[in-house]
Amino acid sequence: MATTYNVRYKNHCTPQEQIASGGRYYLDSDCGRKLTGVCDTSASITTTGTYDETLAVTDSASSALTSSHDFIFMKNTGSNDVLMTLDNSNYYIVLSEGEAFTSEIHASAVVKVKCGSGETSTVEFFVSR
Amino acid sequence: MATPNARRIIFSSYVVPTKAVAAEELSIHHTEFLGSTSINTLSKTLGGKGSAGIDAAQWGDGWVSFSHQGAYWEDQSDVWELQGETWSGELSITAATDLTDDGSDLGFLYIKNTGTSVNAEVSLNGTSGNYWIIIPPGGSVHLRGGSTSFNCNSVFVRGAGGSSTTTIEFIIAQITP
Repeated sequence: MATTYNVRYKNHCTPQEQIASGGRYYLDSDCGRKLTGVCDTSASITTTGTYDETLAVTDSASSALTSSHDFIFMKNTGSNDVLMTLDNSNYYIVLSEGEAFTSEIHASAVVKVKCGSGETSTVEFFVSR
Repeated sequence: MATPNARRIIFSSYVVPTKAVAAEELSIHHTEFLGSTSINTLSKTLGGKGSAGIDAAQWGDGWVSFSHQGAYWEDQSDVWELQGETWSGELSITAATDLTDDGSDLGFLYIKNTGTSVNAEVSLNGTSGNYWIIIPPGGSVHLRGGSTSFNCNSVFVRGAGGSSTTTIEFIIAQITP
C-alpha cells in the first residue's frame, strides 16, 4: 500500500467595490462571486522539500531559492514590502506584510527576493520538487 | 457603467501538506493532513492573506472574464477590442494568448485553470517570455504587481507547451495610476 506525500494548495480572492466614500465594501458587481482554485501538486515534500521560517531579506537580491523545484510558497513575515522574481531578473511580484504567493512553477524558474532601497524584511518559504 | 468610489481584492493562500494512502483497491486513495512527522520539517499548514487596492475605473469590463449573474447586457460599456472572447466567462486557450491589450500597470492578477486535464502556463513578460507559472486543472494563482514595467498586456497564458487546449477564468486589474 503505497503512501505518497504531496501538497494541496488553494488560492482564493474576493473582488469588492465601495459604492460611496466611507461606505462598506460589497462583492464587486462586475464579478458577482468569490473565486477559488484548489489542486494537489505532484511535488513530494518528503525528500526534496526545503522550509525556512525566517529568511532575512535585504535590498540586495537574495541567492536563488529554487533549483529544479516545482512548487513554491513564499510569505512576507516582515513589515516592509518584498519584491519577488521568478526569472532571476524581473521583480514583478510584490508581497506586503502577511501576503503569500503560492504556485507550481517550472523547474527552470529562478526565484529570488529583495526589498526596496534601504529596507529589510523576512520571509517564510517552502519549496519542493 | 458607473464607476464605484473604490475597488479592492481580498486574497489568500492556503497550503496543506498531505499524505495519500492507497486502499486495498489500489485505484482508491485516502488523502489526509500529513501532521507531525519525522520525515520532513513541514508538519503544519501554511497560509497568507492580503488586500490589493486596484483602480476603481478599470480599463474595461473585460478586467474579469465573467459577469455578475444579475448584470444587464445593455449596461455593459466594454472596450471590446482589448479583450479575448470570454462569452461564457471562460477563455479557451492553446497558443500563447494575451489576456488584454491594455498597457496599464498591473495591480492584481488571478487565473484559474477550469479545464480538466491540461496545465495552463503563464508568462509575466510577454509572449516570448518564460512561462514559469504552471496552473494544474482546478488550480489557481494570484499575485500583486509591483513594478511600473509590469503591465496588464505583459501577461500571456497558453495551454501546456502551447499545443494543448484548456480553459481559464481570470481577473486582470490595473492599479490606480
